[in-house]
Formats: sequence, structure tokens, C-alpha cells
Amino acid sequence: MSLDALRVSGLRKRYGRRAPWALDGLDCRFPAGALCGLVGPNGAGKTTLYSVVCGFLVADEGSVDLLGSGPFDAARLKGRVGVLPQDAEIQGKLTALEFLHYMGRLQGLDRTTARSEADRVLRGVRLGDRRESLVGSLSHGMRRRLAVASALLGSPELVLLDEPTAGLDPVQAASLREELVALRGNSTLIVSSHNLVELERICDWVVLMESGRCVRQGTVAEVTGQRQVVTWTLGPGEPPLERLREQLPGHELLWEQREGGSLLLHRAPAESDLDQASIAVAGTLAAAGVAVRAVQRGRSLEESFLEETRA
Amino acid sequence: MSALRSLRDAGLVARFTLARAVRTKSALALCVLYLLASTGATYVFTRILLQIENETADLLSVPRVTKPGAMLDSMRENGNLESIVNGLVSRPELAGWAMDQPILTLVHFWFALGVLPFLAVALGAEAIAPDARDRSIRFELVRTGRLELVTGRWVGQAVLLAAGALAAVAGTWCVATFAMVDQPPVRQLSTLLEATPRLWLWSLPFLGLGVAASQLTSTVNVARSLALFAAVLSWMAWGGLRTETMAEWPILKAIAEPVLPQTYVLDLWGPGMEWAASGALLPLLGFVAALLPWPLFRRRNL
Repeated sequence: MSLDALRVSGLRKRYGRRAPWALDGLDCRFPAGALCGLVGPNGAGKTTLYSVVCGFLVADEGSVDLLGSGPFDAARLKGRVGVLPQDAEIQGKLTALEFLHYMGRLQGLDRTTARSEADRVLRGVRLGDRRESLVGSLSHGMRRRLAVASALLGSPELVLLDEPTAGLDPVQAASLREELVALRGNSTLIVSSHNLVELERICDWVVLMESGRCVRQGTVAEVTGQRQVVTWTLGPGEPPLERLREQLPGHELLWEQREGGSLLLHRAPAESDLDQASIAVAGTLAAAGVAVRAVQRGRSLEESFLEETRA
Repeated sequence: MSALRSLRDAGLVARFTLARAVRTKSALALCVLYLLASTGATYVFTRILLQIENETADLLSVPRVTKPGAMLDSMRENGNLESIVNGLVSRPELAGWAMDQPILTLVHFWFALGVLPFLAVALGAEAIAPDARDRSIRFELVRTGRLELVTGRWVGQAVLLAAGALAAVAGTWCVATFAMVDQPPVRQLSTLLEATPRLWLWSLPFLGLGVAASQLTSTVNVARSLALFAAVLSWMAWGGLRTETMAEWPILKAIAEPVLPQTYVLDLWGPGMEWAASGALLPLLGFVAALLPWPLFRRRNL
């Protein structure tokens, strides 16, 4: 059994012989059981990756390993993978319950289970009271939640959600986030979103993509440098940089003056003890009479992403 | 995928295809359209027949009639009608069988043989293309295979066609009962119902062409045009195979004839169950036609 729910290697895909590569030798992995974020600007290849992984699109090169079973095969992976395609429409003339019941039956559930699962996921996305409504009569946000519900039907081992909160109001988005967090540990979730704050808050693992390639992947702590980077917001006065560099050889210390104060960026070597180093920095700053206004461990996911994509 | 599971999935897709057609009223539209066309065609036939009978009555200085049918009955009795039909089909046993059928059943049969294929082509073109366009097909593709999807769509639409073919029976029966003389209603209905499965089987290869075209494009009208072209091409090929020139190409003829549905069209007429063997080949041809683009569709970006 693979420890990765999804692993892709050297994946290449383009839409036409002269078109640029939408996926350009993509290598990345998503650990089993984790809530994973897939981050990238428009055109980075996130939706193409989802489509190739689910067999909607055929890759030009490379390999996909889903749940340790090789590439996507509807028969072999029946009911084990749930997907929210980004721009797929749901038939408007069906009721929400009919749609989910059909999806459930098609993924191998018996009639009774399909019905109860449909009810469960509808309640989960707060559409329990609209189960008999025609899909065409639902708002955009409700249809989106219904599509999310279809991905969660039957508790699949791997759930791929492409922009699940797109078009949802903040309350709906928050409630969907709660639903996803509740699934952590039971299923592997891969969520793509432009909302990096949202992903940073809920994800265990992130893959940063740009121009069809993976520019960085790892745990949120690794990618945002929570084990290596501390940003100190200081009051007026110059910090004793020379003394700090003597105390912390091999550590990178960058100082930048700001209006009414300054910023000190401390990047520790990979194997060092950042807690001990931070105690030393705090003590030295205090001894030099420089006030510490705020301390932030690591960077935000957004800063990390921008830094990686600018590099 | 195990065969049983594949069949189950195809069945689910077929049922969904039917349910969706009922819900979107496209099934109703199909039935009404075909019912109107069939009723219209048979009614126009009775009006023309009435005109001919009254013109003949005027020539013979006998009283005019208000409902047609009497002249056909006398033609049937003196053997003239059988000669005409025999001249058309070149098979005496079929002409003999046709003489036993109520005249409007034959008209209905003739009309359906010409029209049902085009209705089937138009319907089949809707099998995959619209779902590929709005990408709703992705919800199904993550749960079942493409082969099961195509099979299910073809089966679902075949059932729809059967409903359409049955609906048309009502129209023809009404015309025969109320607009013609001496057409026993029960006999009329039973012969029409007996003809319906044969007509339905005849439409299936053309439905297959529609479903095939629908796998090649995301635009329904393009799919319809492609399938229509293929259907017309099959008629042309069939006509071509019957020319004297083709006698010099016996191997080509032997290969091409069995795959053209038109080869079996006359076999569908006739008494008893002799038509069943040819009839059984038609769904097979339809299914094979539906899977013609499979090498492309199985790798198509959806």
C-alpha cells in the first residue's frame, strides 16, 4: 500500500500540438490521509492536473498513481475517488436527491445506501431542506455545494475538489471548510483554491504550482518556513546585528528599516533549534534596548508562494 | 470491469437517460413529433385515395364516396394491387403477405421505414455531445467507464424510440378507423402493433450512427449532420451495390452488403416470424455502429 494517495511523475499535457504545455513535467505527491492544498495562479495547470488524474483528459507523457492502483480506472477505483470538477454543470431538470441517488448508484452503492448517503451529504452541505428542489432552481452557490456533496458521496478514500469555495458567500465557504476539516484523517482531500489564507488554515500539505510545474511541496510548516524563519517587528533603534551574527553563526539575519521601527528577518539553518535561537535573539534585543512589537514564526502561505514563484 | 458490473452500469445509465428524457420533455416531444408526422402522412394518403376514388367514380358515372377504401378493396380482390406491390418489392411471398394487411398498416410501415431512421439519427446525436459540452459527463465518467456510458445511452435512446414508434400507432389507427371504410379497428390495431417491433429494430442501426457521431463532437448539430451524412451514405452505398457494375466486384459486395441495414429491410416484411433472424441482426449492427468511434472516444479529452 502506497503512503501517497496520489503521486504524479513527469506529467505533461498540452491542448494542441502548438499550444504551450499546461502541465510541463509535473512531479508531486499528496500523502494519504492528509488535507492537501493545491496552489497556483490562473493557468498554473491545477484544473488540468485534476482532469488528467480523473481520466477526463489523456496525458501526453508521465504517470499517475492513484491510491497505489496506477492511473485512473473507473472500474478499479469505483467509489474510491470523489471529484468536484471545476466547471461541470449538473442537469437542471433533476432534483438534488435524484442527481445524488444516480451518482451513488453509479459508484456501486445499493438503492438504500445510495438514498441514505444522498441524504447525509445533502445535510452535510446544508442542502437538506432542498433535497426535492430541481437543480435548475438552485442558486449558483447551492449548485456548487451540491457538486461538492456528490464528491463526498459514499465517503471515498480520495476526494479531489477543484475550487470548492468559488462562488460561495463567506458563510457558506466557512461551513464548507468545517465540513472538509471534519473529513481529515478519514479521507485524503486535495483542494485547489486561490484563497491561500483558507488553505493555510486547514491544510496539512501543500503543493505550489506554476506554469505546469511544481515549484514547492511539503507540509505547511515546511513550505512557510515555520521551522526556519522568524520575523521580528521591532520598535525604534538599531538591533545589534554584529553581536547576533556572532551568537548565531550560520543563521541569516536581514534588517530592514520601516517607519517608526524596523523588521528583522531571521532564517535559521535547517538542522538548528529555532526555539533556542529565538531565545538568544530576544535576549540580545532586550539587552540592546530594542523593543519587540511582534513576532511571527514563518511566513504566510501567500508570501511563501509569491517568493517561490518570483524565484 | 466485470461483465455483470458493466451491464449494471449500462442499465443505470439507460434508465437515467430515459428519466432525463421524460423530465426534460424531450421524450414527449419525440413521441408527439413522430405521432403527428405519421398521422399526417397516413391522413394525406387517405385524402389522395379519396380524390382518386372520386375521380374514378366520376369517370364511371357511379356515386362519389365520402370515405376512401372501397376501390382498394376491389383492386385487392381482382389481384391488381398485388401485382403493383410485387412490382415494387420483387418478392411474390411478400406481396401475398402485404395483401393480407390493412392498407394503412402498409402505409404506416412504408412511412416509418423512410422516416424512423432520420428520427433515430437525430435522437442518437444527443447521446453524448451535449453532456460533453457542459461537462456534466464528468460526474458520470468518474463513476463508470466510457463503454458503459455509450452502451447505456444507446439502450436508453432505443427504448425512447420504441415509445415513439408505439405512439405513432395510435395516430394511424385513428385515421384508419375514422377516415376510411371497412377497416376493422381490432384487426387494424393488431397489425399495426405487430409491425411496430420490426420498425423499431429497423431504426436501431441508424440510432447507432447518431450515437457514434455524438462521441466525436461536443456540438449536437455537428453530430446530427455527421450522422445524417453517414445515413445518406449508407443508402447510396446500398443503391450502388445493387447496380450491375457491382456484379464485377463480388467480394466487395459480399463484404459491404451484410453491414448495411438496408440489406435487411425487405426481410422485415413477411408472415410469421421469418423476419426475426434479420431483425435480430439489426440491434447488433446498431451497437457496432455506436462503437465505431470507440478508438477515438476512449482517449478523447472530455
